[in-house]
Amino acid sequence: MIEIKDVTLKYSSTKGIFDLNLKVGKGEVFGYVGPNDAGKTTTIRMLMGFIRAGRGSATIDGLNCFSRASAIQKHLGYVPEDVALFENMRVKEYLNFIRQMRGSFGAKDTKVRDELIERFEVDTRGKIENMSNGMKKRLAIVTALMHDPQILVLDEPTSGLDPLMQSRLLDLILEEKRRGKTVLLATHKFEEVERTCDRVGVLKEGHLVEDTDIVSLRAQETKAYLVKFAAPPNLEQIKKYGFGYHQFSQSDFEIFSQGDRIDVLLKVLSHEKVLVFNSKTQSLEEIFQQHYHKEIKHKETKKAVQNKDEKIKVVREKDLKPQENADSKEKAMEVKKA
Amino acid sequence: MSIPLFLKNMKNNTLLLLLFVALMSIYLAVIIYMYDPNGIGALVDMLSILPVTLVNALGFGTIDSGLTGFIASMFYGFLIYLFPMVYCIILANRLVAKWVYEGSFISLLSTPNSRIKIIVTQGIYLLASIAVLFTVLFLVGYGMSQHFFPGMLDEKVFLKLNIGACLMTMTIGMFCFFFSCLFNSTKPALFFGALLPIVFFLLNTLSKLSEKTAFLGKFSLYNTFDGLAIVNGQSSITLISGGFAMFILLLFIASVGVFSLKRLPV
Repeated sequence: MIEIKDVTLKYSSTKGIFDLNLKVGKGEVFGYVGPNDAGKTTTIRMLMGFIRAGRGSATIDGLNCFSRASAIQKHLGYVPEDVALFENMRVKEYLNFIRQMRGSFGAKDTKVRDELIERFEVDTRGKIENMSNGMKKRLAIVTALMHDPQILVLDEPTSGLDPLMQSRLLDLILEEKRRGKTVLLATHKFEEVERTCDRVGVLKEGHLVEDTDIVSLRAQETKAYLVKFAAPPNLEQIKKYGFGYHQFSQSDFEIFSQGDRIDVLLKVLSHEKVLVFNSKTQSLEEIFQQHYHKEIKHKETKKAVQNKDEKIKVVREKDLKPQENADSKEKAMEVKKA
Repeated sequence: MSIPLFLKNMKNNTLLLLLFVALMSIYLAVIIYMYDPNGIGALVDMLSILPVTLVNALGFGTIDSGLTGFIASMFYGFLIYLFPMVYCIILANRLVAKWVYEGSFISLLSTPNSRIKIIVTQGIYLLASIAVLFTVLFLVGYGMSQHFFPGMLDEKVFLKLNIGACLMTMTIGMFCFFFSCLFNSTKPALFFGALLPIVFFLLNTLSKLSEKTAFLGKFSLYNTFDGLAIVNGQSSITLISGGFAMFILLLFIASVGVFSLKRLPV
């Protein structure tokens, strides 16, 4: 169980985390989201004992995160955002070294490790310095999970991974959840939170501005559907049930629905002849727009400088401008279909 | 202490150690080979060509005629400051600051080992490798002397020389280690780690130049260890060793303290 009580950890008057209260219960998967520089990684570094909380207390399983860091590490697996391994080591050598550092020397107990290596298709031959960033990340995931820890702390674990590996990792998180593991997942991507988490916390400029469970989050969220009808639909009916809409042409509509009223929308639409029914991918930024708004602009200007990983960039761009992007894409698709 | 980490250090840094062991052993062997028991006239003649101040600065001002004294002034007077200094600066940086800077230290801290345990291991490796360096030097010196000039080496004094020089090097190493623990990036760690021994070295060299500059030696750690004085029995090795050991211990504790409390950037 992870517990953060009234923690303040300042880098400067605006950077850091302030009066943070957070609790991740046993067996719970907690999505920790927020824009860049909000303090997610700082929180995690504090939990890992790399930095000390200025004020307040952070504990994992009742142990102080700074003074008892080594005891905590026995049952904790940590995947950092930026992976830095011992470059001059061979992969096998590195895995064995970390295992020995964890105190097991014999040849036994490599079952979990071998399964993970297979699952993430980690190439165990060769040196770490010759590996791609994605492969290093996969190796970091294997190292973090190979001792079958009870608590997982994952800092943007899917960044740098290809979609297949991202999906495998999310599946793994779900499996671990079923086995009663406690997970703290820091991420930018709503799909990941939606797929794996029980509860979500939103961090903004070092403050926790939202701490809600995923069900009520879904209810709050407004879903948008792109619908193409065969004939002009009965708009009165749609209005009557309280759905908003946006009309592109006589038969092309964008219909909005509360997350918990989708079934009603389906019933209403069942009276119409629907040709196309597309759900627009919702990003975290859209849902928490009120919290994110300032940062989105900030991030857009920064984006040009950050040319780190093409894949991440594409994903981020999608997250940033989902409205226009999605619109134009969906439209293009519809035009093709028509 | 963590044994897997110690073994990893060995794997990473043995080449560096071997390089310095080889370099210094060859120097020592050549110096012993150069010794002429019938008198050191030729060497004195050669040195007389050079300016007196330079000879003094190099520590060759007084050359003892005995083999032990000869080794003390030729090897333990000047070279013993330079080579181990470079070794300490490089090694101390590699043991801590480099990993912290590169971020790979995160891998160590993601295992159930406390910071104190990890830093103590790194410090012990530093001290142990210096001990190995001087053990080899002692054996090379002893072996060479036995081979070329049997019975002429005063083993006890030679051992004292090595113990003194070893502890002095360990102290310098601990200074570098402290800076390596203090800073989160290699640049300042290297800069301060190198600055201090170089200042010590310069002060020591300057102090030998003339009477006027002699007081500078008081500020240099290297001045504490005087090879010839040990050979002549003028300085007590117990006192020197005790002093160095105190320094080593204090610096070690300070390094561990600083590292275990600091904010790590990893």
